[in-house]
Amino acid sequence: MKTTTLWVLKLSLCGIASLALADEYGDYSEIDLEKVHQRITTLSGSTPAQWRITVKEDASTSATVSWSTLEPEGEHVLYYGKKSTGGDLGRYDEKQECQRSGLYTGAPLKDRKEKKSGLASYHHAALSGLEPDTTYFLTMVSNGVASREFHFRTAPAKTEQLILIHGGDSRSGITARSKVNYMIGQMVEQNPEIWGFVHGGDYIVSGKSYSQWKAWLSQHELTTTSQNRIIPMVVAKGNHDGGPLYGEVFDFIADGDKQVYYYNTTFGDLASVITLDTNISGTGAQEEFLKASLEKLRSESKWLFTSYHRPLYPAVKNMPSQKKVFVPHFEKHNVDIALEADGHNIKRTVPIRDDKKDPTGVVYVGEGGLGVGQRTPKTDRWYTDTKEGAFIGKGHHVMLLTMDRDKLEIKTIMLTGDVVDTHVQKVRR
Amino acid sequence: MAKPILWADGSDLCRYATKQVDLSQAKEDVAASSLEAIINGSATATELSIEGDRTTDDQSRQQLIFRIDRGVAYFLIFVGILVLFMRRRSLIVASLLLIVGGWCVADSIAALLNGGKAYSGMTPYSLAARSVTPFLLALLLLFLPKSARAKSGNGSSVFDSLIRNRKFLNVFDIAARLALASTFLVHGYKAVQGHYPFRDLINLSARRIGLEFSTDSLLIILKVIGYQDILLAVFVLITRSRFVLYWTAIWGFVTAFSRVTALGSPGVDLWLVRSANGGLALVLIALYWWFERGGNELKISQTTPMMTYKPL
Repeated sequence: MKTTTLWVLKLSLCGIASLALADEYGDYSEIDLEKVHQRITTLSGSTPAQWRITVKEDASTSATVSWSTLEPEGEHVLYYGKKSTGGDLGRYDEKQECQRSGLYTGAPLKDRKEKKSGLASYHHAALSGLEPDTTYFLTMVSNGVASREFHFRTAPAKTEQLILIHGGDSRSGITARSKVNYMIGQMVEQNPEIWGFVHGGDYIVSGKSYSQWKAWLSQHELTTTSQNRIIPMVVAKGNHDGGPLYGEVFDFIADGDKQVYYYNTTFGDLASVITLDTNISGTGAQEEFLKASLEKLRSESKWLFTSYHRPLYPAVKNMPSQKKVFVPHFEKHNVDIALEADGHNIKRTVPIRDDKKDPTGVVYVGEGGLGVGQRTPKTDRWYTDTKEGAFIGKGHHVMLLTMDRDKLEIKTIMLTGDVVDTHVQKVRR
Repeated sequence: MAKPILWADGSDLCRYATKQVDLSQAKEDVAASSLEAIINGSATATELSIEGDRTTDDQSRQQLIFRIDRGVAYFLIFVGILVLFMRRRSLIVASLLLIVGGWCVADSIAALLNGGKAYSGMTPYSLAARSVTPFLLALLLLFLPKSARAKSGNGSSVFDSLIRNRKFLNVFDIAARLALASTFLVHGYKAVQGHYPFRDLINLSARRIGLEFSTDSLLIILKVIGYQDILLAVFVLITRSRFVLYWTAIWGFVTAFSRVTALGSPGVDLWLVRSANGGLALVLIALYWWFERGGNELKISQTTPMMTYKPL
C-alpha cells in the first residue's frame, strides 16, 4: 500500500513537473504565423526597419544599433537615453549620427544605378561610454522618419547572474526561422533576465544574396518583445556567410584590406565570449588573438565561452583543421563551454581534455537549429556517447545558458517548449 | 538549345545550383513569397497565409541517407580490395569501377552544389585525379588479357599486351594527364590565393619539428608552392617528361601526407583519399616505361598524336 501511494505521488510530481516545463517555455511549433508576420515592418521609403543590436566589446558600456531603410537619402540618427520619451526626440539625452551607412551589396551595378531605391541601405550607430546595467530607450530616425521607441539593456559590470541564449544556423526554412525567432522574443518577454543572443553563424544560405539577407533581417524583428525590447546579439561568421553583406549587416569594419571577424565580448566580471572565425586559418593572427584573449579573460571571468561556427568535436561532420590549433589553447586556459554550430543537430559532448573524457575538460555544445533542416547525429563518436553522459538529438531549438558565481546550467529547449537536455556544471576553482 | 527540364530557370535544382536557395528552402516557395510581400508592404490577406513548416527532414529520409552512405562506404572498400587482386580482364569488376567513378564524380558535384566552402565551385576540378582514377582502372581491366596466363609468346608481362593497343594508350594517357593537371592547377590557384586550410597544414606540420611561420611567411611559402603546382600542371599537360612526373608523384604524396603530419591519426583517411594525386603520376611513369621497354619511341613533348606505336 505504501509503495503504491509512493508511486502515485511520484507520478503526480512528474506530471506537475512536465506541465510546469511546458508552461515555462510554451509550444511555438504550431503558432499562427499569419498573425506573427504582421509584426514585421514594411521596408518602404525612409522608415527604419530590420533593427538589430550587436555587441563586440564590453557589453556593459558599448553596443552598435543598426537598421535598414529602403531609401538611402537623408540623415540617419539614433536618439537615445536612460528615460523613455515615448518617441519625443527632443527629450532624449543623447543622439548619435550613424558612423556607417551605405547600400547593401547585392545587385548588379547597372540595377543599382538605375533602380537605387530597389535596394535597401544599412545604417550603424556605434555607441560607447554607456552605463552598465542600464536600460536605454532609443528611436531610429532616417531622413526625418522615426521608428517607434525601443529599448535594450547594457550588461551589469558586476553581476550575480547572467542568462544568454545560444543557437546557430538560421539559414534555411522560412517558417521554422520565424517560429524560432518568435520563440526567442517570447522567452525574453517571459524572462526579462535573459540578456542576449549568441548566434553561431550561417544566417542564410548564400552570403552574397541580398534577398536572403533581407528576409533574415526582417524575420529578426520577431526576436523583439511586444514591449519593444531588442535583445543584443554576439555574432559569429558561418561558412555560408561569405561576401560583403555580413560586414554590412553586422557592422564589421575592414582592418586594412581585410575584415576581421574574431573579437571578445565581456559581461562584467561574470562571463566572456571569445568569438572566433572558422572560415580562416586557425594559426597566425587568429591564434595570437586567441592566446592573448584567453590569458587575459580567464583570470577576469568566472565563465569563459568560445563561440565559432564549425564544430571542433562534430556530431555529424569531420573535424576541421582549426581543431588542432584551438583545442590545446582551450584546454590550457580551461575554457568552460565551446559554443558551436554548423552540424544542424543538437549536441553536448562529454568534458574533453587530451582527446579523452575528463571531468576537468571543455564541454562542446551546439550545433545549430534556428531554422535549418536537421540532420541525425552520428552515434559512433566517443565524445557524444550518451552512455558516458553526452547528449545528441535533432530538431529546431535554442540553448539557454544560465550562470551565476557558482554554477552554469545549459537547457536545450525545443520549438515545442520541451526541455530535452539539461547540463549543469560548477565553476572552476 | 533547350535546357533540360531540371535546369529550367526557376526549378528547385536550378535555384539550388545557382545558390539562390538550398533544397529545403526551395520547397518553401509559398512562405518565401509571402514573406517577401510582407516586407515589401504588398501583402494581401491571402498572401499572409503561410503554409506549415515543411523544412524538418523526416526521420526515415535521414535514416535512408545514412544507410546509403554506409552502404557506399563498404562498397568502395570492397571494390578497392577486389581491384588489388585483378590480373585479368573482368567486365564485372570494370562495371563496379565505373560505379565507383560515378560516385566520386557525383560526390564532387554535390560539394559544388552544397557550397558554403571557399572554392567549392572548383571542387570537381580539384578532385579530378581521384574521380578519373576508377574510370582509368576500369579501362585497364577491360584491356587486360582474358586470362592471367595468356602472356605474350616471349614470356613478357600481361601489361605488354596493353601497350600494343594504341587506342587504350592514348585514351589512358590523355585522361590521366588532364586529371592530374586539373587537380594541380586548382590546388596551385588556391595556394596562390593563400587558402587558409593550407596555411594550417603547413604550420601544424612545421610545429612538429619546432618551427613556426608568421602569416606573411606562410603566404610567401604558399605562393611559391602554388606557382610550382601550376607549373607542374602545365608541364604534365604539354610534355611526357619523366622528371616532371617523378616530381609530381613525390609532391602529390608529400602534400597528401601533410594531412597526417598536421592532424595526426584523424588525417590518415584524408591522406589515403588523396593517393591518386601522386599515384596517377606513378602509373604514367610505369606506362611510359612499359611502352619504351616494348621498343617504342615515346614522344616527349607533343600532345597529338599521343604516342607512336612501333610493332615489335
